[in-house]
Amino acid sequence: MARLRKLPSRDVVGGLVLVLLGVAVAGYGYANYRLGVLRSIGPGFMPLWLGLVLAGTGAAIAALAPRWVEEVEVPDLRPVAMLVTGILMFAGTMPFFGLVPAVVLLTISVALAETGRSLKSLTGLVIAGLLLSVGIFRYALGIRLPLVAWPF
Amino acid sequence: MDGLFDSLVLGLAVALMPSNLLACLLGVALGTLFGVIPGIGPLVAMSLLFPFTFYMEPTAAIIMLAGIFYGTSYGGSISSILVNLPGTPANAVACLDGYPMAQKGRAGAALGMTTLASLIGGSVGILLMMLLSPALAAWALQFGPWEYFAIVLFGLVVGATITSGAPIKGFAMAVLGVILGVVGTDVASGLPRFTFGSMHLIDGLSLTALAMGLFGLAELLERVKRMPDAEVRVRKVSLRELLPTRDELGRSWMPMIRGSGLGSVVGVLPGTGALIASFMAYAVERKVAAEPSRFGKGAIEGVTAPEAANNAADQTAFIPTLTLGVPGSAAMAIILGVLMIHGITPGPLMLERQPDVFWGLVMSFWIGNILLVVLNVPLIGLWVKLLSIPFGLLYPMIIVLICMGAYATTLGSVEVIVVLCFGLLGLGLRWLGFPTAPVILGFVLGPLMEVNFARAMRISGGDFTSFLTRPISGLVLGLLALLIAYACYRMIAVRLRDRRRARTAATLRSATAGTTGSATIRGKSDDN
Repeated sequence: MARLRKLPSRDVVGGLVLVLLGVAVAGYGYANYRLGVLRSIGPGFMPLWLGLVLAGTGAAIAALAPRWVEEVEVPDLRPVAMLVTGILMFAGTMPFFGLVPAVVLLTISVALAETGRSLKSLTGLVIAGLLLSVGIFRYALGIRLPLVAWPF
Repeated sequence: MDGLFDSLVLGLAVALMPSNLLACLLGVALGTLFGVIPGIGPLVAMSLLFPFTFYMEPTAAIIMLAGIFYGTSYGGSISSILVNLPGTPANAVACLDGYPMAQKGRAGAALGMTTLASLIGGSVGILLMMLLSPALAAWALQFGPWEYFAIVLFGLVVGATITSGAPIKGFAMAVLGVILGVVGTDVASGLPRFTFGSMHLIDGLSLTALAMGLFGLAELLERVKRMPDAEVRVRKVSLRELLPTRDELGRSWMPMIRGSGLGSVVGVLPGTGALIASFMAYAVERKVAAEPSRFGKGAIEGVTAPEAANNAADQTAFIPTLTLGVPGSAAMAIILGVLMIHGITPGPLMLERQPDVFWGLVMSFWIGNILLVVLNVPLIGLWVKLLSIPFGLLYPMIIVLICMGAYATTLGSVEVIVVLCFGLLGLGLRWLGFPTAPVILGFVLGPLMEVNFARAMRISGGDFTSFLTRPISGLVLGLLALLIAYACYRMIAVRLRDRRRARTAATLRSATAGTTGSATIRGKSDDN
């Protein structure tokens, strides 16, 4: 399953991302917030310096990278995608349709990140997820979360 | 001494209140539970249960979170010994001799002795906390903003760089954390910063979302695989087996005492938590042992000393966090954050203004440690059974808990999305080999740093040298400068050597023509 591919070294990529981020923070801070003087620093003081320090550190990380290109094990994106989809569906469903549909969708999507799951195990997980969320959040903590809702 | 006695009575009364007792029990039980599950360390456990603390009294909330924190160390050794997978990073050393003991059929004795060692280590740590905290707090009362700035900066830089394999990456992550902490309304000017017009960001990014995303969700995003891992086979352990032989007990006394002492010292220092304490304790035992060759093959000292050390360190880590208000690790930063969310500012004044919270927490440590022994000894069968539950059945439930917890904190989906974003950020950082724990440390310490810097500059009229002329802050900053200079020197020297080696290897390879390159191992971020 694990594929190896030659890619720019992680230190170089990470370092450069930090440089960009640092420059963006410093630039945005400098452009929008008052810098102040040492005696009374303004809201822009920290962002400017932090951004510059971050950019400098990022540059050092990239420059000190042991090698520019390395063979990296390409991660399998399917489980990540399934988890993200599940959470997005939960976030989209919960406020409109209530807890039950949201948790059911979430559990199914997340559980299917692993392939070859039996229907029995899936049903069990959905039921357990529902019991857990209703039991803890609705009863133990007493938060009013509608179980099922219909917005239209 | 009278004052201390009164404080202890007050603390005991607070800790024995039914709601706090329940919180303590819940905390240590959940801590053991999450500790037993390999890969779920104290940070993940604490961040998962973070949202629940909003529905509790501050004292109960902090007692519970603390219980989870030190409870994971107890639970983590169970998986180290039985299946050779450390339950938490701090229990990794326990694998070295614990697992060989289990293979020799002494698993029960190893488990029994780690429980005893953990109790002794924890007790020494709590005793030190009881005796040292009042003095340290009284001393810290004299600190001005200069001293605070210096100590916070020291704690942040040292805490972020010491545990991660690459100090410079840890430092970069701490800076990133400070930047994330800037988001929201600026305390001094009242102006919103980096909110991009979003109402949700006016109050700043929430520590809950950051912790749940960066540790809880990111851990799962990285670990869930298309193909499930093979199930672990766990042998059964009966209660009677837990009893050590006279020889095992005799061999362990001194190692446990040495481990406790070492762990207590290491725990107080920033950045060096239970993980480093346990490794150091193991190294020391090997040095002083009469037959070092026994180590790695099931020497009881190799299990008891590190376990005493990591539990002692867990307890003493609370000393700087509560008396100075400066946490030394990400887990302590979460504790500090929870206290602040509940309107309690840890620091020297906490002992004066909220003695009930402080001493209640300290006394709850005693209760918690005793409860842990009670939970670990008779219920050992339950924890062992838990180990055999496949991860594939656990992770969907953990994700449901994360999503529901995030939704419940604000009764809206925005927080869920924020958690997801931090989860993906954490995943990206792990892929790139950056440690994530320093982000939390920077996030919590950043605002403290800015406030104290601004205050110091205002009082001294913008005179930067005031940081260096005041003795304590000058000393701390000087020490920090020395440490940074040394770290830079080491890093550059090591990198240059590595690069030279890589180049020689490359020329060798091209000379021998077309052999396959070595695969790089993805760096594991160590959450401490």
